[in-house]
Amino acid sequence: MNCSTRQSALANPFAVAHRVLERSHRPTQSGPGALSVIEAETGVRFEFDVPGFGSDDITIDVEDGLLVVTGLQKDRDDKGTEVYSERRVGEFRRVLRLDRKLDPSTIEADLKDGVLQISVSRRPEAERRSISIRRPVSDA
Amino acid sequence: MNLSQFENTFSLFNEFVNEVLPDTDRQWRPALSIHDEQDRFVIACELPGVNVDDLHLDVHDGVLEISGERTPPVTSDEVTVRANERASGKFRRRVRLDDAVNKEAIEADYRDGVLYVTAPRMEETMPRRIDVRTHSTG
Repeated sequence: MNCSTRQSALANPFAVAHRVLERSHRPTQSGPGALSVIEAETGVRFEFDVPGFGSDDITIDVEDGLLVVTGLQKDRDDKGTEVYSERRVGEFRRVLRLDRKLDPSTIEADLKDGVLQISVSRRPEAERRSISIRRPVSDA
Repeated sequence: MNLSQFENTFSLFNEFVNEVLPDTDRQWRPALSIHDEQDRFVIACELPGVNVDDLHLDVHDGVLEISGERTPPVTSDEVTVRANERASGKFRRRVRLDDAVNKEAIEADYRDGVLYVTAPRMEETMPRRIDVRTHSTG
């Protein structure tokens, strides 16, 4: 496993740090599953290039703050004989660690024109609570 | 790049090879494939997230040209791109079509982010089975 991207939360007060952990079946950069990470105050949006993939070909799982996106083109619609191809194998797997500031229960996914968009919202800011120390009860 | 020799009974006499032309002057080089489906060729070009208004398809001098532009993710004061592996900007792919292609009858569909260009074969180049007539003597 190689941790490729390390983002500093200090650089941008609104930044939500996360790590792209694992990349497989991706010999070079722009194969299926190529990723853009777009951050806003409200949360993060991940955009994956998945040309030719239908929603049945993609699985999205979240567990313990890990977002796992897997794609497998079951029905590559290439009939006939291949004369020439630069198109890569129709599968990918991306694993991303979601920062704790993000709320996994807010994950939404959309697939349009070969682009998979996954958005995750930030948790609302935790309220500060002051805790007072109980005075011991003494019997005198 | 691999240019595989396809099995076809014509291949001994003709190379129905549609030649992919080099393109080095664009920001994005979308992946391309060419398939021979007996009665037609299908050229598939991976163009995820491209607006059809920004996509152009032309045939000129026997060359099929797919060109256009993909806009990068939008940024502003509130929105930043933290990481990006996806190319964007202008693209252009060109394929020199073989004479076997009926250039008047080319059609194109954009589906799931892939542009499928269908180019039927010219009528006279279609695969034809030839019946063997038998004669009886006597």
